[in-house]
Amino acid sequence: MFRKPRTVPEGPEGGELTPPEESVFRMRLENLWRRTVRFWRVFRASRLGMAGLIILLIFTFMALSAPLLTSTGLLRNPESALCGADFHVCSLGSADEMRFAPPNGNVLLGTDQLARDVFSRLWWGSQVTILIGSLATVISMGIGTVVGMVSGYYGGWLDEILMRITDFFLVLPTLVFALILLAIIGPGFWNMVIAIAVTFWASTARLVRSQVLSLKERQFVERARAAGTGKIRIVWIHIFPNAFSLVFAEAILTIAVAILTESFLSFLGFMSLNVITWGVLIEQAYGNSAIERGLVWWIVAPGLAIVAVVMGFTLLGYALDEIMNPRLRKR
Amino acid sequence: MSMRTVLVRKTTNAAITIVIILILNFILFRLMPGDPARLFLSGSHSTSEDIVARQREIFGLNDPPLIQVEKYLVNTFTGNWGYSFFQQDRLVVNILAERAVWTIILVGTSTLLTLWLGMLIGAAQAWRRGKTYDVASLGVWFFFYAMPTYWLGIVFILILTAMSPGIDLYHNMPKPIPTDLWGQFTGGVQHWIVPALTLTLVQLAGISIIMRNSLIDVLTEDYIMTARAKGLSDRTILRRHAVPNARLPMVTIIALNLGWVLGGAIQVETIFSYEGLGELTVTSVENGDYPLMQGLFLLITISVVVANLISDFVYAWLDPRVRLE
Repeated sequence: MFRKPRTVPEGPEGGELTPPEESVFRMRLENLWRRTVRFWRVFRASRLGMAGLIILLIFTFMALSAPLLTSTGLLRNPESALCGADFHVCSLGSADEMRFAPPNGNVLLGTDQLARDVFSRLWWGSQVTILIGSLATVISMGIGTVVGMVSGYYGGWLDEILMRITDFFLVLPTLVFALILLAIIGPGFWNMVIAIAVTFWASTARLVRSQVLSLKERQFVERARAAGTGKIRIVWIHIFPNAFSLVFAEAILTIAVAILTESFLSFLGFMSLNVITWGVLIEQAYGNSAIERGLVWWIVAPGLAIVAVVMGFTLLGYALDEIMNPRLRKR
Repeated sequence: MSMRTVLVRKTTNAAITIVIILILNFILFRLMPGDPARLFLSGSHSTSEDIVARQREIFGLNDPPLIQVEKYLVNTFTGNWGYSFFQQDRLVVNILAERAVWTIILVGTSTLLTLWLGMLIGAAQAWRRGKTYDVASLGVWFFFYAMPTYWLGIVFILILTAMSPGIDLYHNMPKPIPTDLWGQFTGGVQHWIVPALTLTLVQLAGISIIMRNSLIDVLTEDYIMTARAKGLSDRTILRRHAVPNARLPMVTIIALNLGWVLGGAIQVETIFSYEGLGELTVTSVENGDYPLMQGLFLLITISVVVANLISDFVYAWLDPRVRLE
């Protein structure tokens, strides 16, 4: 119900039947609007999916509002040290720095080893954590989609080779591989994105390939082929949009796993200096013996944040999968 | 396709995957930053140029590429995986064998526990599908599913140290290691419980959800209706008719999950300083211990591939529909 072949004529091939440019655009817009409304109605019924969406909206708000809140003074600068009983901002290394302060009314989650406000670091951490997860996922979906498309549409020995490589990445213990990749390319923000992206594309490739295999036998692809459309155009204009919704649901689920992976790799110290992610926060707390000092919230709060955001993505991903995957729809 | 062709094909594919692993293992570790000879000598007193040159010669880094490949293959298959750089120059194979035992204990027991509990929980949920119990435990398991494994380990440490200060949670044995066998056993069990529990909880989340969905699929089949019409009790239907069918896919899932579980084991072992393969992976990456990393990569990836292949055979053997074809 969700992915019918378009009813709107598709560009120049339509011949004299092509309506004026403006009205094609309008029809497409209306079509899109109708589909969105229909999708929303189905989605709204999924309670877990809505819960996921709300969680994610909260974290998106955190990520986007961090700079604004800091500049208006509602949130402390995550890099500045705090001094004295009233926790005023002071220069790093001042005499009365409040290091390792337990949570109180002034600093909600206490301060860290450099007397910085843990709460504002947690708030800022949402930015890079979500960004890395999303970036790695986008790249990994890109690799997976291209491999799956080529493999499924061209078939033959190319398919065979690509699928063996995919098999390898599919069974590979992802964390082991990501660790060894990082040992080679070194720590850092982009290296971490690459290491995560390279380890997660295989299941997408499989998914896209199976979609392409079934789609390429459909009549609308046959028609396009008969009309003399080139292979690349068929794959991208006719097949890809139809496989996209499943890839999207998969992407949402992958972001969750990517965030978990990032947090452990950051915990091991593979993130660049001065970048704040929740994994880095846990690492700093753990490395500065928050456990022994009894500073429970310093170590627990970033973890809970990870749990919440990963749960948001997982719930949303499952709900989308259930709506878009024809195999599951009847449930 | 007959059964035989499928299994032959699976075996060929696994063989090809292992070839890819061997190739990657050769290339990856030649891309590593730094000169292995220099790194190897960095701990010793003298790093003069001719000693470095001689070490390069010993490592065979000056040989032509083809000879290097040949030496690599011969060494890999004869178990000559070299010496560790930093672990008192011990043989990589010996270190791996010693560590593997502990990881097998940890991953094996927690996987068995997960399977058993996962089936119970999944079955209970599927039976009460859509009821409060089902929805509530789905929520709980999604919560555990979303948890970073290493962080769950930290939380356990926090809770347990708060409950009984001075509790010894780290390492796989009490230090000093008890001399009598009974002491070793109880000490081992004490140090095993918390890491195994952590790994089980995290695995259980995924497995129980899969088991629930698999059982829900089975419960909608006609033969369940037939069983009900025959007047069998709910208990018999569930235990004798539905669960055996629903747990069949578990064989494949456990094998497919192995790579992921090892990822969890790395995290748990790191947090609890549990001396297994996972903790070894992290320390060897941090130290730049190339021979050890290479050995770990080879051992872990190949065992995952082999486990997957075995699961295909077991599945074919278990499922009469596949076997009799």
